[in-house]
Amino acid sequence: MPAPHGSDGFEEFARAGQQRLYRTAYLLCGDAETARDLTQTTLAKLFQHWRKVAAADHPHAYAKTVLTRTFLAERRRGLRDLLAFTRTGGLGPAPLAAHADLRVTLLAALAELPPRARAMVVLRYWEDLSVETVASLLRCSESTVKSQCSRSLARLRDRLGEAHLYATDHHATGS
Amino acid sequence: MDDETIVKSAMDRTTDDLPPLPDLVPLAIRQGRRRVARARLAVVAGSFAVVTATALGLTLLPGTASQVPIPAAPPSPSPSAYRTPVTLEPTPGQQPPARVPDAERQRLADFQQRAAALLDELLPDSVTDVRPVADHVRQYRITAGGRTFPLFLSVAPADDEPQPCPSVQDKRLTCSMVDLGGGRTARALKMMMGPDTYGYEVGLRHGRSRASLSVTAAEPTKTQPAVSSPVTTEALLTVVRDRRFTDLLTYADEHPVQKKDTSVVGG
Repeated sequence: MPAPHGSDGFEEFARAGQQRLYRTAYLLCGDAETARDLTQTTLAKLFQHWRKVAAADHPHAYAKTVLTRTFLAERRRGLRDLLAFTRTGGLGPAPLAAHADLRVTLLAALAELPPRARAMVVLRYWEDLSVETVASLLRCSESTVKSQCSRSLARLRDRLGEAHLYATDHHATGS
Repeated sequence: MDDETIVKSAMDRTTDDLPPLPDLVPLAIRQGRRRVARARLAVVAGSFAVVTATALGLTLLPGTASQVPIPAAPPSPSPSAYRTPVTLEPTPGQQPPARVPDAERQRLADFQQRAAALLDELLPDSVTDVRPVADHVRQYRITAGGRTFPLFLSVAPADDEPQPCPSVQDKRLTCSMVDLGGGRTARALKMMMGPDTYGYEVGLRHGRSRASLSVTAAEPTKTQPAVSSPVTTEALLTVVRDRRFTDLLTYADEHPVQKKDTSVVGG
């Protein structure tokens, strides 16, 4: 969806995109409250540079870049860890869903990855971005993205093994 | 099913379980405006430093002052600007908060939301976030310079007279009585909380209640030392003098949000 120009266009753009950003933020952070904070900070940064964002060819891609770089910067500063420390449980309240095990397993497996590797996996497999785009966004080489993603993918697949089968079974039986 | 598909599917299902997202746009706009204002001030400060360094002794050209960008005043907090409460882990041996009926709990949470929005507006720009603490009606957390500080807003019914400054003072406690106008006075305290680390409090009587507003120091972490409250008594007095804050106190006085309290406020 193209972003409308003008200061008023920000609200429309932000409302249309915040849910998707929140989901991506959740996969990056692993807890809902921190994901909300990250999403809000991202939207605030987009507001700050709105003219530039609105003029970009792909404003939503710009938003993903801001989100990911903000996540990595904050991880470096340890700020998110500090905030998470004041809250209950890193994974938040357990949802009433059949695939709760899968959620816990995936988030635990993602948490084992270093922040940059985690960002690569989320961008590559959740956002469906190309290797080239991920490399450009994270300012690294394509070969780094390929090798990191390959290693991380194998690791995630290994951890997801049983949880995935359990969730698939639930899904199939509709329970 | 290949590895990539399995991971994608797991991500899909995981994010499907997310709790609903409140509308973040009003808060993001407010935060964004502050970022713009800070960036402008930084540019102005930088330019001023350069001018001062290179043209020391020269007077400012006429009209310069009017060209300094002045940050736009932030809008009043929108009712939809929900602030996610911070949830505290009980410390060992600590009693959990008393259970209250759902309707009362919601009323207290609404009061905290209203207070947090107002405090966010009235506290200095260095404070970038104000959040209520869930189930602790007088507790909030504020963020400034990347650190988190406890803020306490207490309005509790009390029979006692306005509290004067302690007669004996030392370097750990500075106290002064401040005239708020209209026959109201407040007690302003600066409290030493550690070596070169201070917290601040303003206390006053309001109706049949004793009210206080305080911000204490940020506790040390593994990597960072303790830091004094970024909000001094002057900033707290600015809040206390605002009519909207008085309205908030009036509500809490007429519809108490805390039990009758005989303890020292601010703790």
